[in-house]
Amino acid sequence: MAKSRIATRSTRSQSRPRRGSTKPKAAEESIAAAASAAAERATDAIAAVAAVLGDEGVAGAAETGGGADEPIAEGVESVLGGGEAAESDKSPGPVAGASPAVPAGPRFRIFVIDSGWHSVAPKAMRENLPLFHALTGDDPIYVLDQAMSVALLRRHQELIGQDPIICVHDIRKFEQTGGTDGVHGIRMHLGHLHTEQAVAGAMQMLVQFLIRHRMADDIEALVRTNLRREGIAGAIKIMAGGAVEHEFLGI
Amino acid sequence: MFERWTLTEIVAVGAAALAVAYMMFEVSRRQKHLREVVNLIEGRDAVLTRELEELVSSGALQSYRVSAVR
Repeated sequence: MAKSRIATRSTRSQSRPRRGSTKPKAAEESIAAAASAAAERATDAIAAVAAVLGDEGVAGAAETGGGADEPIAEGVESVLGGGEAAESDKSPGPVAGASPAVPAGPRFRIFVIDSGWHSVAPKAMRENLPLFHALTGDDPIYVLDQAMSVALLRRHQELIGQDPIICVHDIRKFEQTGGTDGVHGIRMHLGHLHTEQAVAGAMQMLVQFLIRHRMADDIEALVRTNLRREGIAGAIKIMAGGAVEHEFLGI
Repeated sequence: MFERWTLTEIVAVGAAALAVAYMMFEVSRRQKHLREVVNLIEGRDAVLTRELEELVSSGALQSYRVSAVR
């Protein structure tokens, strides 16, 4: 009996790999099919993103003379390329869904006025500007050199000591009103901030605002509520502020 | 009215009033700080806006490039 039991066990143990050997083949085939389908979807998504970036690059090149967005495009492609094999099921959806929401041209025109004071704010602003530029994406940034900034500040003396200043002009507002009447942008005076963390926090708040409210019609109300924290809702937000607010507002 | 209050109640109400006053002061201070840092570009800033836009349209200002600054 014992021998027969051992014999049956051995036959079971021998038969398991045989049964298992058919399942892995089917599983391999299904995995291969899923992988090929996922790879196709991933390549489609990359092509869609590359098309969008290519359009922006062409637009940027038309304004700048070319080569402005190369690091951003390379970075985005490398990120997408790294995840194409494993997480390709998740990536195509949001990218394909996001492309129609991208506006046709730039919504904002951003100017940086910096007369070059030897203080913390200009240094921190310059260090964070490449990332700020990468995040704003389609909106062009114009950095005034020291001579231009000084000349401008001599004409507008109320701004002396408040630089570096980031001016964001709402291009859509210009087109709607046909001029510069009413509220037509945001100006951030980074010269009031005295730590690198505060400057970085302010720039983070601004870029988050610009990205989030890119399609908004009424920028003024949103600035008053979200950036200046006016009214009772703003007071509640200040009291319950997150890490960025604490860094930014910790005077 | 206040004759009926015990010393403990007076101290508690005073502390609560101080806490509320401090909170209002702190919120007001932070809102003022935000108003100093974040400004709306309005009609009175039209001259500055026009000058900046003219710098772009005249070609005196070129768009920012990461590689050029680095």
